[in-house]
Amino acid sequence: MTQPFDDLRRYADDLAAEVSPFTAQRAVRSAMSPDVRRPRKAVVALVATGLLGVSNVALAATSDAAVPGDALYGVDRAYERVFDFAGFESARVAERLQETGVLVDRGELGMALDLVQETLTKVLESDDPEAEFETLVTEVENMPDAVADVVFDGLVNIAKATATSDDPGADVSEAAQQLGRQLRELLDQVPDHAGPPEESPSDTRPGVIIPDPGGNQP
Amino acid sequence: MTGESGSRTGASGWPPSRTHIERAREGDPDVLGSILLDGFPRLVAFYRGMGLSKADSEELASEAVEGMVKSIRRLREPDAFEGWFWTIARNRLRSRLRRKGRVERELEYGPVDDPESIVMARQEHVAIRVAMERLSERDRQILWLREVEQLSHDEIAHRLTMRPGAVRVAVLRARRRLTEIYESETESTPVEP
Repeated sequence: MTQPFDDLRRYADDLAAEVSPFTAQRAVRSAMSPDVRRPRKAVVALVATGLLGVSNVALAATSDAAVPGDALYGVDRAYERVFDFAGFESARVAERLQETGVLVDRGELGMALDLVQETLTKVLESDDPEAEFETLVTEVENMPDAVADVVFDGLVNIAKATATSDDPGADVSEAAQQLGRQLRELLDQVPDHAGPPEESPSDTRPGVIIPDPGGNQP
Repeated sequence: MTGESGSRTGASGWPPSRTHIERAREGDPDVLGSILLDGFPRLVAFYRGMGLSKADSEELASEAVEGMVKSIRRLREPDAFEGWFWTIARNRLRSRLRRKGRVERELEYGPVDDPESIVMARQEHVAIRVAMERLSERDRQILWLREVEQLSHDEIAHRLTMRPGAVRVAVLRARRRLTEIYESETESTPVEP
């Protein structure tokens, strides 16, 4: 029985053929113009404003209490590196983001998500945090949508907490931990990372290594 | 998209060659523009196949193309091109559907929802449209990526964060469901040649 699928392909062909060349050219030309209006701008602005408006110390202090196996352990480790290396260069952030994309392409979502966490901390410390954050958002957009959805929703929740709360430290902590839990649940569904409970006391995610920004292994 | 031979013939320039992808990544605007021009109608077809109107589909495809222009340099491996392309496409769709809300979306997907479209009015497509309409959103996307775009099970699994085995099962189930509805429709409504 191939007819419905042949029909589906013919239907797709006809739908594609109905697009006028002019419409396609206009869209591509607009997309390639340097002053193109960037999508998700509102999300970027909301999150960047929220994140940049709160003291980094709040998240750092919250995550500092994390122990191996906690949702915020990755953030904690990343913050350690922030202080260890006393600042970040933009190029290094971009490099980490590119690595994230490669890891996602290879299906290594655990490492990719760790890099997102790590990069987020770098964004907060960057000389041009808004630009760096937009880069992060673009990179997340290229991830499998289930991952992207969780990360975006988590970031927006964190931003809202920082923007509206009287006690941003606590609310950021709650939102960040929720993001951590969601990412962990997501990781458990990924073939490469699903498996029995952690054997090593040092980390609960098998096979997940948090790359060191300075090139040193933790 | 060329009938039964599908999208892998290369005759229509899709998917683009490794050489073209490499040149696009290296910043050749002509090559990138050419790839996106070939991809734009596929994006519009995909969005319309998922139930969006022609106008919404073209708008969403434009947004997807913008995202691709921004991120093409981060595509390090040309072999990952199609996965990258359809991930951006699907992410845009998910964002749009979330904003519009399920109720409005379901209302929008109907056999006569787009009077400006000649394709939508064609009797020959009614059965397949109705069948697609009755599938779940996920099954619709899986079937489209598999049957129209001919992505591999592994590619679909990776992009949907599913196990390849689960994708195979989902494809089989969606194919069976589509076939049942399609046959039911064609029996009750004779298709004109």
